Amino acid sequence: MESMRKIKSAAVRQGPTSALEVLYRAEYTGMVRLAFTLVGSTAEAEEIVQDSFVEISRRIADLGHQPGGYLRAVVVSRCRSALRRRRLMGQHAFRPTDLAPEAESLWDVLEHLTEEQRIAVVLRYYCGCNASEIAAIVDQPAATVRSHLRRALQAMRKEIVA
Amino acid sequence: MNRLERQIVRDLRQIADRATPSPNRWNSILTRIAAQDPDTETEPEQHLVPVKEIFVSITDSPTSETRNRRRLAMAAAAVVAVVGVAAIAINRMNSDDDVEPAPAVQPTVAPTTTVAPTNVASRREAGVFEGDTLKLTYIVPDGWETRGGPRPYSGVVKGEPAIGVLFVGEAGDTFRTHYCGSGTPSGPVGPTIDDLVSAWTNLPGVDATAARDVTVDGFDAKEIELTVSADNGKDCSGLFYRCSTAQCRNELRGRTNQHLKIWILDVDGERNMILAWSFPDTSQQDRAALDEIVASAQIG
Repeated sequence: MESMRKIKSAAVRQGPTSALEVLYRAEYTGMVRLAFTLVGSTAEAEEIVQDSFVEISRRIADLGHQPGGYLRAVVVSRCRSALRRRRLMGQHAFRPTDLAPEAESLWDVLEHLTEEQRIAVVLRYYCGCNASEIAAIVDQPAATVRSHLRRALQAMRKEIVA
Repeated sequence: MNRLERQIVRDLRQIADRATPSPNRWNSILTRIAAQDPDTETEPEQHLVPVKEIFVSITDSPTSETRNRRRLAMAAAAVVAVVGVAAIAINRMNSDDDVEPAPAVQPTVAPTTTVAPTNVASRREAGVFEGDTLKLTYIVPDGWETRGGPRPYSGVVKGEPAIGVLFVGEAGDTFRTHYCGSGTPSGPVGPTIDDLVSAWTNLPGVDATAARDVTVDGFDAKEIELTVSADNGKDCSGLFYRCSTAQCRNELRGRTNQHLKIWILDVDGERNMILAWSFPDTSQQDRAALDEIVASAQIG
């Protein structure tokens, strides 16, 4: 919340670029990590996040108290597009290196989930969002999000040795 | 939260920790914002990379006005050369019904006469690629989607599987090749044009022509053609690519029978590439559009 206050304050005092810079300093690394959990490549994650910053740059002054939330929604949307494009083009996914065996197993399972299920899982268990918050981010009904999570967990329960 | 969910939380954190964000990308973001067309709205549902189609004037460089004029003249001439090369390639490809790689064309040297640039009826607007040492504009035909831009890569694609043209620069990074499915880029490609040519032509699963010395828009270049000859990755259809960073950014993934024409330009010591790719079943119209895009490239 402190970072959000700084962003809003910067937007008022110094203009949108400064506000964006404050947002960048507060959120960039976290957003790259979030994107990375979805696309598996630091470079692609950075590309997505940078593009997201560019996209919101013209709206930063109008985003009110939660530019970080809006940024996250944009990042997730772009990650979904990337995953979808990969699938449509039959492209091989990136795979993070140097993962512990348990994390490798999780990654394998994530790879076989639908894009919506995967995003729901990451937002729920990495970002700590509840179903309603996820629904707002992905612009789907909360019930649909719960369904995605339930099915994802079913698949994960089968594959992951807990 | 049950045991499975706790494990998911822990493992997701471990995965996220594997990301290694660059320490300072703020300037990069500012550059992109500055290059953004204020009238262009990005659409996250449609574009992984936002569209930034602007026309950039000739960069301030050590070149004199005289040299710029010479470059423009040579640029126009190079258009003719590139069109000629492409036309030969198309003719030869069209004469083959199978999926063998297009045979090599003879080395081409741009004539020194000044010719007006190709006038493309389908031209929509100018796309821009910006390297460290050059700025390059190109047409975006109707119905084609832009990708990236202005740096470290920019281009247009169409269809599924996509065909397209990419303009790629090192932008301060080192090229790497990438074997699809390995998840790990190769070691950095050496610093010379020949190193990069070698990296491309020695990729596994590729039938490559020998490099040809050509001139693109007044700049020395090597031209090579590749055809993806086989499936080489577990989940990949064909493969390989190039990357411009250690993390393998901006990959170009090959597919079986994909045909690539690559021009590697030496622009004041910086390597830049033009890649155009298609498939055996790519339509005549789309092949022509590919050639138009490549031929429309103008440096400065």
